[in-house]
Amino acid sequence: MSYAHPEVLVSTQWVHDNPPDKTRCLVEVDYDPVNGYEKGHIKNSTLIWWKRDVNDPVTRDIIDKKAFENLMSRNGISADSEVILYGDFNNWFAAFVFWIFKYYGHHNVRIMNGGRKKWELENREYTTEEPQVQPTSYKAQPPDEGLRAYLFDVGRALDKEDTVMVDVRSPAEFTGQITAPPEYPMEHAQRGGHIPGANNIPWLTAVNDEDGTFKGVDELRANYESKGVTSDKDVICYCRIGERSSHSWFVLKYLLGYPRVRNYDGSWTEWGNMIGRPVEK
Amino acid sequence: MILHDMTKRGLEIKEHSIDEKVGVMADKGMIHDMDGIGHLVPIRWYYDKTRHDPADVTRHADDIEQRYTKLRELTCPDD
Repeated sequence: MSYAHPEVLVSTQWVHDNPPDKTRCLVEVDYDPVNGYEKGHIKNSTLIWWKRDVNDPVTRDIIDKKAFENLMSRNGISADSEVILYGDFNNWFAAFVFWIFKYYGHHNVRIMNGGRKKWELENREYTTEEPQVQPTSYKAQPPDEGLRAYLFDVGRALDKEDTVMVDVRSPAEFTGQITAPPEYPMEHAQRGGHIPGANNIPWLTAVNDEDGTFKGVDELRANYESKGVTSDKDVICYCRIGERSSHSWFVLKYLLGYPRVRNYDGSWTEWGNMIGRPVEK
Repeated sequence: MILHDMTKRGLEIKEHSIDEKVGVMADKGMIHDMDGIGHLVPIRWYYDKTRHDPADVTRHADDIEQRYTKLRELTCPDD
């Protein structure tokens, strides 16, 4: 059995065989470009840096439509470009940017399965040379709010049986043993635990550990359905800052084809810091 | 002699190499800053008894303590 939307994934071999051209753009999405893109990237790929490029520089929010259009222009992307995303950290941030592309209506976007991890495991070539980019005039679509959950939506979903929450963080974060992994001391919340009623299905359970690629459809389906996360429900994914949850959002919406899946990008750093919000441990 | 910075507990060891600041082999982990950039930081240092005495380790530990005290003063001053 194949994925519901197999067209959203390309392999490392496919990227090797189909380099960027006038209609196809290859973009590396990094959390840590100093230890990623700057040390070496796939030839002719441009860079989207999570912190600098897709977050509003002042308010905690993703970039607005105008900033998205500027970002596309800087990366040489037109509204009809085919865009291939790949990145560090098992494609967490590539999935987050994929979500933003869909949010602003760019449909022809795919992810390179396995990201930097698989490319490196296969000893494929990197370069430090940055490509010459021809800026474009990009017109984005209005935001598709059906892909995004806000604090209000999560609060409203608390007592609803037809909405299911998926907490994709580690079991230690879910139980409140820690509020952030030790590598990310800037991302703690005031309270540990999880949103009441949420299911803990870590993002990692959707990938093959050895190369970071996505598991097959049967394994994925069993992984989510056994926890009551089924396609007849309204699904909200969250993590700590919304990037790991976009990875699981991608799995549920595009690999399993669930019709109604939203990413709560406020995630635990919003919920766990709010006064009066219920917390379960 | 091993000096362990307990504020780095839980960090995964990424490499074992010389800490150039003190010239001692160290286990290092990675901490990501506000921008997401990863920095290798020493977790524990392995002082060779043939080249160092306990006073070297104590001096280093005091330096670390003073640095953290200064950081605490920035956010939670006593006065």
